[in-house]
Amino acid sequence: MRTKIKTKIFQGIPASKGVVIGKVKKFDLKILKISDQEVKNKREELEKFERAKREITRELELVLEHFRGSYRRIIESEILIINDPVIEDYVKNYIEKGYSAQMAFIESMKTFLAKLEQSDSLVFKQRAREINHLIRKVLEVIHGKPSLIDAEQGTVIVSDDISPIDVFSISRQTDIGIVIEHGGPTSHSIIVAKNLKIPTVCAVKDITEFAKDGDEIILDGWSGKVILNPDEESKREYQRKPLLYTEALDKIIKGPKTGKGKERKRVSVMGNAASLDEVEEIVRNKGFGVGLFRTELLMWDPTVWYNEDKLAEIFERGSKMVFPDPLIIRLIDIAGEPTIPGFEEKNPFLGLRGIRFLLFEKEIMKKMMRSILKASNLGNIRILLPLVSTLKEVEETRNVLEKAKKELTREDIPFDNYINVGIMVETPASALMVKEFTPIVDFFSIGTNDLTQYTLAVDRTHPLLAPLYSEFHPSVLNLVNHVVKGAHPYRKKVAVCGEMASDPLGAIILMGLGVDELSVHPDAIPLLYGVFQWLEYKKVKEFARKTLEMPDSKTVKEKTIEFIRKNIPPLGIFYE
Amino acid sequence: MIEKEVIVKNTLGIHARPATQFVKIASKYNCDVYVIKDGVEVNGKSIMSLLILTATKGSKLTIRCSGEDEEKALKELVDLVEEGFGED
Repeated sequence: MRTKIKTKIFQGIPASKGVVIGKVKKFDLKILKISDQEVKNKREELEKFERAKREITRELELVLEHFRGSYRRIIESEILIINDPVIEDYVKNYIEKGYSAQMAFIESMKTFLAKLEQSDSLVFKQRAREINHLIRKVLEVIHGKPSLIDAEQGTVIVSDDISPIDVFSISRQTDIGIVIEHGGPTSHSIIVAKNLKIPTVCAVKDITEFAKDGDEIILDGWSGKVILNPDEESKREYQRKPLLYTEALDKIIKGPKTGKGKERKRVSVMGNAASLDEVEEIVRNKGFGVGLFRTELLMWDPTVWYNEDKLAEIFERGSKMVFPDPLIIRLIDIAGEPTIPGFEEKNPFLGLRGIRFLLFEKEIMKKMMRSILKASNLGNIRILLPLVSTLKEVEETRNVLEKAKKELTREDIPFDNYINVGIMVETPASALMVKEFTPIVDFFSIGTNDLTQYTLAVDRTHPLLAPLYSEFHPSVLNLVNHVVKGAHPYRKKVAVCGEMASDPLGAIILMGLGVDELSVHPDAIPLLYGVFQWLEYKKVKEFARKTLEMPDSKTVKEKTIEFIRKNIPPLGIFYE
Repeated sequence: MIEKEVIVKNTLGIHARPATQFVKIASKYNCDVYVIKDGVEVNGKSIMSLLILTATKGSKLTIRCSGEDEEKALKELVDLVEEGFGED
């Protein structure tokens, strides 16, 4: 007799778009455990390490085929690090002394990391981040976490959390999806999944408890819905869904039949980019320039990073590509990342990052300023300062900018003397002090990811706190409102460049609160332009004002979906 | 055993990318490869060891190879460093 399979529906947070109907592959070893017990069987420990080495090398070599440029170089050096003969000698020695394979590896790496740290702070910091991901990966494989490299087509990875390396390794396969029990939509791995276009849903409560290997599963990266053991009807429904979604998108982008199209121009939709390829995508999607050009990726290649002229050349090419629209370059923001024991800032998100780091390393800041200035002759480049919390930080930064200008003048190099300088509003401090900032800055750009984490005091990468983290929390909305109200009387523009702006739900509220510019994922630009054609500003404004007085993020989201159903009927399907 | 002295020519010295190139070549050969800077000798097939040598532009290095294919290995490695690792 056949046992009846029970269908179960879960609601998570949609993190990367797309639908996958497939089979579960579990990848969930709760929290990584490191064994620090003295071991008896030394040969077994050594074999554990050797096996991890072989598996990861094979995995990275397969991944390597799919990448070029800086990613390829990173993977190549990872392969060499893991096969480093000297590290191996160290590991053998430690195991001989009675260490477990994991502890032996950690101790061996620590010796080198400590020496490396003294050599070059900036490139090292970036390197340390990759090396730490690699160390974690080795520890996981030793612990017995299976490799993902052989995942078949139609596989849905179900896991408590996932590392960027693992996301890379499944990216070789098509028609594959990720469901994560913890982790918010802004964690590093999810951003990688999004860039590689792997449908992903995160914060799916209890999924690892119910899902078993081989179970049938449907993942909807649009709505955040996950269906375990679906019945025939939902399978049929979801086979049609991708088509329905595309049809709905077409309708939204075409706009309503009755002529409401006037609001389109009220909000400028710009794009976020980390490379010139992405700038090109923004131009293709007719975005209004680049609202956030991230410079962190440029550091991967030290031949660019240390060469002022090469850096300037990249900025100049970007500026030409979007001209006459703006290219807003954010000075490098080195942010907190998970690290290994014995090698970490106690509280990285509250530590030396953003503008604080740059004011600590003023030479690096000045060099960046010089390369930006050299590229600024078309007049469409603006400078954006990360994580500002005090007026003094802006004043000190302006002094560095003036120094850079003076140097270039002396060297007879032309630049845009009136280059605009704006700040990222990511802390409640800068949001509340907006009026005081207006005389010394030219524009504001609200980074809702960090603003949310600092306002709600929730670490946005914390595996267990994802449900608490929401940009739709009324406290965050009130801060956004406060910034707009403070900046507009002085004719200073306010942009939003966090994840919230890329989601129509968030974009609608932000438009209603009077935000001037939204900077979003390049592929979200056409949809948002479409969405705005359906709206009447007066109505949106009225609605957004109401959200400021709602009790929690759940209510805000529900009411916004209601508003969407009424005003943009075809968009409703994405929020069913 | 044979060895040769070389000077690091590229602006950035031996950072991650040149170190990767060096180790990839060194590992092709059976002979042992050592790199010596200011009296410190490290294994030339170990990327982490090369990185902590912090060989900047102008650093004087001795590359030492020992084993059956030492001549070919030494020549290829010396060329790599002298050509500035294909950077500037």
